[in-house]
Amino acid sequence: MRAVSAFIIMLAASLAATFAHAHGPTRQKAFESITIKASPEAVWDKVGDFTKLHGWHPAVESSSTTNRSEVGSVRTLNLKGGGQVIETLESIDPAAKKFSYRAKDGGALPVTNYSSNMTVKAGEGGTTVVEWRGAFYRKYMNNDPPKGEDDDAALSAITGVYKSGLENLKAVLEK
Amino acid sequence: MKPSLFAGLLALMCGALTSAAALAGPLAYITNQGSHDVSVVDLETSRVIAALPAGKSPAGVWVSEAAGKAFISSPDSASITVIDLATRRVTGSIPAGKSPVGITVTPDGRRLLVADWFSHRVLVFDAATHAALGEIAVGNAPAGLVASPDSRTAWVANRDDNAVGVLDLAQMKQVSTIAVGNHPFALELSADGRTLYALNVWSNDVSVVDVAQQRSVATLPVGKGPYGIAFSDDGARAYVTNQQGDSVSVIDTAQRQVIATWPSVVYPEGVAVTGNTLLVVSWMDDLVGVFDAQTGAARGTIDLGRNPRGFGRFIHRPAPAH
Repeated sequence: MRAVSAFIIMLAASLAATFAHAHGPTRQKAFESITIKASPEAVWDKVGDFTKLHGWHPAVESSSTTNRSEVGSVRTLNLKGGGQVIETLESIDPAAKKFSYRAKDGGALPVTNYSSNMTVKAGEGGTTVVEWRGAFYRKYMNNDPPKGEDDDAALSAITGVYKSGLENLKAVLEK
Repeated sequence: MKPSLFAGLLALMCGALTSAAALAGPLAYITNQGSHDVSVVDLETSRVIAALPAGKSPAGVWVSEAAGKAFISSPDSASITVIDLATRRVTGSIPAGKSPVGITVTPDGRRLLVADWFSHRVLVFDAATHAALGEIAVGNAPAGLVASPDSRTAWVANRDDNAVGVLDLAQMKQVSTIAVGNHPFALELSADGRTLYALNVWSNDVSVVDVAQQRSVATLPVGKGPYGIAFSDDGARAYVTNQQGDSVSVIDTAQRQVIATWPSVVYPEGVAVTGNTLLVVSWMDDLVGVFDAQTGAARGTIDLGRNPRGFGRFIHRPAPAH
């Protein structure tokens, strides 16, 4: 009996190792956009600054960066209520008003392998449309994730970050 | 056979022939991982003519005109969905390992190969009967697959080994490996069977492998996260989607050089060329972008299901009507 249970533990451990290095779960995505009554230039001034997310995102208490808004700059976001998110700026194109960044692990967010991009576009009648997109896997990389580390948790967390951020961005810019 | 049954069968067959003949243009079979189906797109009219259910989280696709079927891999249901190209209907489902992703059919249309991600094996099936013929132990995290024109050899991207495995299909064995870049996922073979391209997701480049020499003879830097590859009809160009760069790199295959980088859809994955049309699947925006294959100019988009991938060869060109 003991030999059998030892075998099962070994089997479970080897299975876990097998699943851990590959992404078994399916890649998820989030997309949110908002129309703001402000010029694309004014909106880009706010969101295109990689050092100032705390200036408009209601969940971010403070932030610091290693190299401002240069590609490769790593920003550390200190969240209100505790927890951190660490993200690297992967590309930024001020002419096209878009940038992308990546977090190797989600930190305070229940995701892994998270990448995101933000685009600022001219809307109708002098307005501006901001689009925020993310691609990620859930936090739990093996099969049968516990609640809070499953696809739904990952999706609702990122969607919440985008929605609350864009709504506050609009409020700040239309003040 | 009773006359009424015979008449009924005849009517059915004629019906099938008529509906197939009505669509003379190329069709795209694009997997939608988020909506668990395959969009069948009539490329002449830019219309989705069917959404076929395909297991859970379908990702890979291989259209084999020789087999008369499209095969779809669904990792979350560990199954292969079979679509009949004449009727454009699902005609079967094959249990396949633990997590099938990469998929190909030998050019003779006889064998279906499936890369089973978690078991580090390539599963081999009879493409006509769907019977399992055996398994080939390969490297770690096998992904993209492609077979030689003579259907004797296949190559598999052993992603976590940074290598391509060479499979002898008569011996049912991985007989050698070829070192490529970092994290190869997709593979394609030139039409003449001489040059293999491995797309290295982490090193952001393409390894050009000389098949006869069994080694990488050039490394072409492309955009971030190369994920899908397709050739122009004449083979002079290869188009590589850069998943993290929202762009397509255009390779001159004779010069072995990237000659252009075109802005493309958001999160581009699957890619195909038919005539002067370049199709690029947008995983993020749930659509396929239609571009001029010569200039890269955008011509429009066609909406798909959720989280489309189109990983593999997904175009069917119906034979001209008689």
